Amino acid sequence: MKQWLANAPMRRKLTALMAATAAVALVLAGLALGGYEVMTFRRTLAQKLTTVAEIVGRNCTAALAFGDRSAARDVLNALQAEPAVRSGAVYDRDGHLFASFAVSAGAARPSGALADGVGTRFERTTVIAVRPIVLDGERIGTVLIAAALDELWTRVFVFASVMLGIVVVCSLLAIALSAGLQRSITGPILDLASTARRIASDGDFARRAARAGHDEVGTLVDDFNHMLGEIQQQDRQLRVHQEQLESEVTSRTSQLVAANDRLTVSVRRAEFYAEQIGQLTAVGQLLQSCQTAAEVYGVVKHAMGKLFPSDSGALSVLNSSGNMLEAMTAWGDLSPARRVFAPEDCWAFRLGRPHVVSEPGSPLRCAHAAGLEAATTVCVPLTAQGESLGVLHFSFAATDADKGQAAGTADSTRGKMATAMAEQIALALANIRLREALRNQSILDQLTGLFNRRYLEGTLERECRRATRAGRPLSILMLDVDHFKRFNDMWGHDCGDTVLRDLATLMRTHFRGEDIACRYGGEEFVLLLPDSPAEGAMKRAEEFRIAVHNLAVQHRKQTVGSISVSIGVASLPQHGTSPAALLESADRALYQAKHLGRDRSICAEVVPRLTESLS
Amino acid sequence: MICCRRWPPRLAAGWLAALLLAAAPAALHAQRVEEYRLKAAVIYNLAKFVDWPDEAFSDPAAPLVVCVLGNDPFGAALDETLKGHMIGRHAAVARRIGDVSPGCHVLFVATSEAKRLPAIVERLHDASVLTVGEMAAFTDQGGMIGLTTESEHVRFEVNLPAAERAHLKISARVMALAASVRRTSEREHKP
Repeated sequence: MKQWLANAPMRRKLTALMAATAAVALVLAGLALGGYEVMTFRRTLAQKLTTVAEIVGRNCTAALAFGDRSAARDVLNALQAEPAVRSGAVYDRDGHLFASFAVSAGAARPSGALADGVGTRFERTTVIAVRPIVLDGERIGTVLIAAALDELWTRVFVFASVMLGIVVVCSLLAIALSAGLQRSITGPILDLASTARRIASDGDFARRAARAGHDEVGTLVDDFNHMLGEIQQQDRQLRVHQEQLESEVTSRTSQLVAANDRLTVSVRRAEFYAEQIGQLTAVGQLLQSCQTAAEVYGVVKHAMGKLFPSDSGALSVLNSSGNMLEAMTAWGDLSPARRVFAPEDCWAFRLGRPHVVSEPGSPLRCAHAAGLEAATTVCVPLTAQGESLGVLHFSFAATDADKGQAAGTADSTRGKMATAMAEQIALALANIRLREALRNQSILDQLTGLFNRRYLEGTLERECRRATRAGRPLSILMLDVDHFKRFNDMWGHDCGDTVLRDLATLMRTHFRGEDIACRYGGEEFVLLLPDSPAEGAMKRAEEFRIAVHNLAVQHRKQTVGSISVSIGVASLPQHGTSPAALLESADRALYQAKHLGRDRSICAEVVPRLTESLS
Repeated sequence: MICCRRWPPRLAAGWLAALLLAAAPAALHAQRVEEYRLKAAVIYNLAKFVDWPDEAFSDPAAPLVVCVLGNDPFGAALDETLKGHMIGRHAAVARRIGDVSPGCHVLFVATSEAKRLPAIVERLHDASVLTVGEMAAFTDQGGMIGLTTESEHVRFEVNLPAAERAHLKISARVMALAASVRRTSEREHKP
């Protein structure tokens, strides 16, 4: 019901409400009227019955007084004239039945108990009137008359039927009437609703609802129209803003697209650069790990083929005398016509900075570039630590990557790459040269890892002076591998090297940290033992000689035959005070040891000081 | 159950039963006593249905006098019936008289005075006195109420013209109970 009230159309709701109101009013009025009718009827009936009882009582007075039952019966029989009366009875003063009357045998005869009260009493189907019979102010009996209530119920039924008919007819009339009348109320509201629906469906805020009158609905329509006006205005403003916003979005989008394009290009370039940097780094690492110049040339040829796939070029290096440049390697399709040229033939070498020629047939093109002509030729000098080492020459073919920039300029991508490569190559070449120079000046013996002879000479001189100054002993052992030539002859050169390396290793482990072991040359070693007198030195020499016997050198998975050494021992100051004298003494002692049959230690003979000072 | 008992039918029935069971002379006597008790009651009740003119009473509170002329057949019954009772606004009183005298409202003419009846009627003329008798043809001789006995039931006859002449109004309700009502004067009846 609630749901229906909420959802039903207003027209139907109004009609139903009106009809329901009319029906309720009618039913209530009918009930009131019916109730009043019933009450009135009851009262009338009661009065009538009381009157009848009174008359009967009066008429029976004499009969009762004289005890004439038949006379009383005659009076009661007169009640037949009243159709509603069912029965009647007269009781004497003692309450005994005196005379009675009944319409039919089955009709209820009022009981004696009822005679007690006086008045009217309503039962379900009957109404009973009781009146006293008074003679001369004295109650001589009671009359009691019962009437059926059939008429009352008949009346009630008829009344209810009529009322029902009236309610139905009136409700129908109310529906018909309200259906017509509600239009005056719902019409404007429905108009307003339909206008609102149309506006909602087509979004046309220029529409206005029509006003029918000046009542609340009229005010509502006015407010609605006012609201529509405001909405229309706001809608217009919104549209303007929207258009502005759209144009702004469009322009911003195009800006964004442009920025994005730029960014994409930048990213692509950055990626390209990153890749090139990676390749450059890799090439740089390769170059720095090259041991020889020839390796550098190989790496350069390979790397250039990868870094500059479409270009040709050559690497020319200044010779040791510094008067000629020689092309050491070349790459690409073109190859230089001249492999050797004078430093003057290259502008870049002369200027000490990259030289770029983009114009074909330009007189500024380097002479050595003949045969390498392309769109752009670039010469980059190889310079390291202020020294010019050579020239890196490029012949760049025109490519898409260089479009939009000064093709082939030193600042271009390939130009930067070329410069970077030149720096790397120059550094690598300089490193190799430095390494070679260092090797020449080295203090270590390459084969054994022991100190070399030059270091020994310097150190021995220094140690001799220090020992002399401090008055401390110093001994040297001169050591030679016995029959070393045999190893080389029997097992090859490698075997001799292995023997020497193993012997060096034994020395390093056998002697103390402050002792200095040197390879004196060939299979000859010198051991410098600071703070060690001749006796101690001899002892240690012997110990080492014995230890050598246990040395088992493995060569090509074979144990090389027994190794022995001969040792000459010389000590400061008794065997000499100068390094040369000491070495000589030790050498003599070694010679003596060899002479005596090898595999032994011999201490040098004491040299008289005078002699030494003289020599 | 209402007021005190003065004329209880049960008592009558009891008496009747007693009479039937008693010996013949005693029973006969008892029957007579009962008969006059009933007759006294009838007289008392009749008086209630009769309206006397105001002049019949010296004042409104004056008693209503029931006179018995001649040999009194009632014994104590009449006094017992009337004693302490009101008829209308008047107290009922019984009185025995030897001759017609003023002051009576009801005059019971005993059977002993049957021969004097026409004289008595003549004497009373139109005086407002209700004449009651039990002799035969009482109403035919000018009496107003004639009492008869029918199978132990006391009934009465009414001479309406005589009553009218005496300005007495007898209630129609009583007349409805009467055995017979004479409505024309005895003279007209007389051939």
